[in-house]
Amino acid sequence: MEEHLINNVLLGLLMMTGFAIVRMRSLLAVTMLTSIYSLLSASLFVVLDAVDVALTEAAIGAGISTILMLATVALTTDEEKAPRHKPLLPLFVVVATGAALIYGTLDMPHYGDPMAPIHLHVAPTYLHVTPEEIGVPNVVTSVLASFRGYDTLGEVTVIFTAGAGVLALLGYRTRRRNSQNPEIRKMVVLRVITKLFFPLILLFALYVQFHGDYGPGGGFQAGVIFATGFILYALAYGLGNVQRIIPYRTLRIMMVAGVLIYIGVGIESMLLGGKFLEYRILADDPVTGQHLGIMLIELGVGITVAAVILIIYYGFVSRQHQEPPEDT
Amino acid sequence: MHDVMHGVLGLYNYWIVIILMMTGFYTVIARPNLVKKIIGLFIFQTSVFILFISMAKIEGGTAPIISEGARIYSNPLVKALASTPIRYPTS
Amino acid sequence: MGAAVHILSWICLLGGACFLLVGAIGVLRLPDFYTRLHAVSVSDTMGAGLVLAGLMLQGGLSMVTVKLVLIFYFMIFTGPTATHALAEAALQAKLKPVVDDREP
Repeated sequence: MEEHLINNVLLGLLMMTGFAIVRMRSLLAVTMLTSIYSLLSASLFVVLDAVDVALTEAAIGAGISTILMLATVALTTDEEKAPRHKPLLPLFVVVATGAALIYGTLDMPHYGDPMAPIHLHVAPTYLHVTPEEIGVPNVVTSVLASFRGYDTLGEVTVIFTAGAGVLALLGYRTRRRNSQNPEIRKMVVLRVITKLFFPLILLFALYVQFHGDYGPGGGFQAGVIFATGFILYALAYGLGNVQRIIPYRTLRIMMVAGVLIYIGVGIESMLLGGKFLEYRILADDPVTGQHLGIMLIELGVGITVAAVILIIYYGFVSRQHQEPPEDT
Repeated sequence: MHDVMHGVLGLYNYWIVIILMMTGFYTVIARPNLVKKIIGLFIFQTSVFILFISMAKIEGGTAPIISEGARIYSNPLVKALASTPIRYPTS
Repeated sequence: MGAAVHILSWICLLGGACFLLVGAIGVLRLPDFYTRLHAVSVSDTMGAGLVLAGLMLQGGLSMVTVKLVLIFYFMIFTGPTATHALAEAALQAKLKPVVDDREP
């Protein structure tokens, strides 16, 4: 009952945030509202038992997206222009589509119904087979990394391509001196606390990375948290100092290395006489092999994701400081 | 009366999802600003995840991490499906 | 023993909820940025702190409590830091506080 209540309240809040996002003009405020929206949906995912998705949504939506969106808003304008005429046609289209979709839901199985068709077919098999064949408690990880390993490979390639695309579009400009905003230099409290928390964030990222088999987490979330730690450091100490820790060149190598580790695991299993990405060949014991394979590919995913996010961030920020801000 | 209440509560998630979806859709088609359009897509996308995950929930179930003492697990496959595309908006 | 802990934890949770509510009302009602920030910090430290304390009492001596202590540790450091950074940034952007300059 309490779960229903929390679920319904969170959905109501989501709806209100959505309306506020549409109505507001200031893009800065809209960005912050988007972050709130993301955090609300992450909480909703926890209530709905999707902890892995919640962790991803919290890290990506509320964290990285907001930072990148703020960087975009800083590069362009902060204010949205008022529309010239009343948007009657879009409103009509939206209301009509919505009404049709709501009519379509009337036949759907009710929320929480254990006999809904979705629960009767493939899913029970995964729940049943995972403990014996994979030996990993987190079924979502086993589905993502082992049963559907090809999909995850595709996903890593997409992320890699996204990174390469941003690299090609935004480019990267090396800067001679550390042109940090001098006002942030004065914020001693922020800088000290950042120094205190930077190692803890990295430690947490490693925990999420290697504990992904047993609890919510995995390579993707860990990569994002890892990148977040560096971005926080860059915000407090300037981009130049972060580049002394992870230079741009290293990031480019990391971006490729992650994908190569993933594909390498696949090829290794082929060389040992199995199929592509058949982990149980990797060790004498099939379950150990699965563990090893999942750990290695999650590592590959984590490395690529962290590198791509940092590359996108470097690209945005190096562009931002170069050009003097135009007067508005 | 009880039946109507039950039906409304059972479909409430899907209706909110549709409202959110339409909010995002409206932002995409009615607002000229590109940042706003992207945020509209973001709202739309999140609403699709909520739709998926609402369908995956089983009354009284727990997160699909095998542990002692838990009997019913919510659908893991849908979660895996939902956590694959969630990663694309990074780009 | 069990009942006493239960009641204590509920007192903590409800107290935390009250502080959160006060903070929210403050954000809506107070006149300018700095005073609103002050309201936020109330819900940040006392509200969240009491809710976490209540949850720790519910969790008992277990792994959950350890994690909650870590979250608490994280919150008492990051909340005030964020508030301080925001105030400092506003000050440097030359945002003037609203001052009551009527004659007493």
